[in-house]
Amino acid sequence: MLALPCKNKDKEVLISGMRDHTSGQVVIVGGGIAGLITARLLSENGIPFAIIERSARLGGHTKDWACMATDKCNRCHSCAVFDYEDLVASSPNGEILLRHELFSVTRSKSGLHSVGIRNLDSGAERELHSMALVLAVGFETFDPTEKGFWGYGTFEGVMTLSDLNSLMRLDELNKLRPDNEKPLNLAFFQCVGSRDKAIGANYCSQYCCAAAIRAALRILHKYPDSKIAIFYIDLQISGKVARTLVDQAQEMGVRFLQGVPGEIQPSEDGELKVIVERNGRNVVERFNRIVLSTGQRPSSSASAISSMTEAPLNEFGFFQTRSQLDLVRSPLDRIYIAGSCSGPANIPDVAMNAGKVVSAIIRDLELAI
Amino acid sequence: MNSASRTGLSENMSSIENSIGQNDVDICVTCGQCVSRCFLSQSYPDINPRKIIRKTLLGREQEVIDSEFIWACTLCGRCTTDCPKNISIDVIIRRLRGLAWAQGKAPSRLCEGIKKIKEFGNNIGVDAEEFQETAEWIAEECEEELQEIFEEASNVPFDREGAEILYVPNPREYTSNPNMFQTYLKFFAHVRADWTLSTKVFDITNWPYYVGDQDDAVALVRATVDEARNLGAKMLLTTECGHGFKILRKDAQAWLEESIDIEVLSIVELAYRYFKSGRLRLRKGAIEKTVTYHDPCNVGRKVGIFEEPRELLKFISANFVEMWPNRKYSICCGGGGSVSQNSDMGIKRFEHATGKRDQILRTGADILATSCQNCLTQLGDMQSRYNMPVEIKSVMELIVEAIEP
Repeated sequence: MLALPCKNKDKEVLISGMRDHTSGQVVIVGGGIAGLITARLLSENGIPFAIIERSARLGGHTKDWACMATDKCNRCHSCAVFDYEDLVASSPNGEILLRHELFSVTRSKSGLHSVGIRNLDSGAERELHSMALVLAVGFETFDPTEKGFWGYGTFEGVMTLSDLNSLMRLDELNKLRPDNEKPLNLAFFQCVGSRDKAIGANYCSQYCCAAAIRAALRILHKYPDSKIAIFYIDLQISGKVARTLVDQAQEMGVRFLQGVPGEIQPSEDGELKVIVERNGRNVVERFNRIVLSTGQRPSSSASAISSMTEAPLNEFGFFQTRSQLDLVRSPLDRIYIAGSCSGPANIPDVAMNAGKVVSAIIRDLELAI
Repeated sequence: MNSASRTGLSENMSSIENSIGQNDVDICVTCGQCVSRCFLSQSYPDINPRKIIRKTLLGREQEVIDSEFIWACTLCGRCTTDCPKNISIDVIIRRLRGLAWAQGKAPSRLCEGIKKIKEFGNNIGVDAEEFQETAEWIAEECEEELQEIFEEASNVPFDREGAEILYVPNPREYTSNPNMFQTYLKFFAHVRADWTLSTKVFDITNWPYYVGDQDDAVALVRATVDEARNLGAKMLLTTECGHGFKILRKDAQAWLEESIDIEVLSIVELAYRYFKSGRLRLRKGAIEKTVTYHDPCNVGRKVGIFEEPRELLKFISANFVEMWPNRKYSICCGGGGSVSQNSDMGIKRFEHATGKRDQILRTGADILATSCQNCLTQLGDMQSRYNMPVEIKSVMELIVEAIEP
């Protein structure tokens, strides 16, 4: 679990007599883990905020994620979302607007934004005054039906990492082996929808290598008789924790195989077969489940929000940041980019990034208490 | 086109990129997706598309040049469909073949064909007079049927200046398979096409393309385009051909380094156009059988014609079924890219095509339709070799059968 920010409520001050250029709230678009951490840190610093979230709940993708603990915590950090959700909900100086969306953003001469929001259920519209706008709209999971060779949606047994996660979160892993007799023979395909120029996603999605390994460990913890293979291009993980995960997985018999199969075919016995190159020869491998480690694509709302706010997108469709070294400011004043909407990220990256967003806001608007 | 393909080995892959087409092979990340998608991966377990790139980049391309694999490859392009780095393996294979050809290692049957192309302008060595006589004789054989459509329909037009359409046939139409030529004659008659044949250009195929002989491949394209211009044609219409059509449609402008102001269309596309405009009237459900469609690699995957033949077939057949996978994921018939013409491949072209065979059989269709002469030959041969309970027909044959009298 992440180290949480200071919980001392005495430090939280409601700002009443703010200077002109800091009247209003910090409006955070998106209530996922990035929006939540940003909100909490703003609140800790006495800065009022409003979170605009389209769905009916906070937490975004992180909340869909299962805990990856085996006999010990494997540091996936997904539980952080629950702590932050509680902290944000109990913040005295914030507003949480669920089932709301942005429909207009107008910049005033003073640099403030007037933000039009709409209740998705009642249609009621409202205006917020924003001293700073934080875009935290997150990402979209790649839809593997775009690449028909993998047969996602066609073959039973082919699923995405998100699908697998849902099963784990709901404690329904047993659905993967209905007769409970046959051991799981499962493969992960890495880089599905990542590092792929053909679909405009010529970048690494950052989270999937470690996520697949953690999921493999979790499956082995529950069903030690499982056979697991991870097909990868090259493992894009670094740091001591990641290396430990690889070692641990290898010790438990997970096979790491270079080269990702490009086509899944049904085999005569109802299993799934792929042709791969191993030890210099083309061989057939069979599995009963294949998990596609789907990458992060830009949020579907990114382009609409970009045209509303004029915050530009980069060549991949993520929000552009001010420079290579400034990864939290948009090129426009008072618009900040938090979390994975500026590019793929994992949970610890998002936490660090949200902290930088808040410190940039405090510095830019001279809000230090 | 530079002369590198004639002088021998390239130093590295960059010359391969430049001579036959742009292709950044050095950006291959060895993801290996192509290994699974190649229909030859199990027949040739020691080589695969990824290995070809690796060997070439590592300076071991001679091993690949000397391999049978580059001639068993049908240039179908399936392995690099959806390639994460947009590499096109068919471009690379053609370049490697070009190097083999320059070293005198190209299959003899293909070399013979190219010799004839250089002498006669076509791969079977028929001269203009013989072509004209044969074409007229084939028309005579179905004179009555043609005259029933309208009186002058049995007169085959040659070198007619100002005709809207220059039609370029495949040599099979005036040699081994005159039925196909008659099919097209009937189609032209029914739609009252303003068309002509040429006595200078009457072979849509491009065998130099197969062996990576780029100079001669370009010369053939040049001759075809120039002839269409000389005759003042507005449309260059190709028969149901794969690679010849694809080259004119997709590569010609780049190869000739000029824009071609003449529309290049396949005869199936023309039929579709006339069907939509009402000029071609078809009987709905006329083919009272179950029909399936094989996507030729050049027509489908490489040019993107998927829906036109399907819409036509769905209209004229009582029942249309898809094989799986299809469209851009379609499995190659196994005979393209010179394989069915290359006698060195012998019966291997059938052994390599068992995936296609099984896919066809699973549909349970009575008729397998396709629109490429190469596929038609290969699938026809497979039908007899494997006793497949299915009739192989061209899309145009079925269309002509379904025309409203």
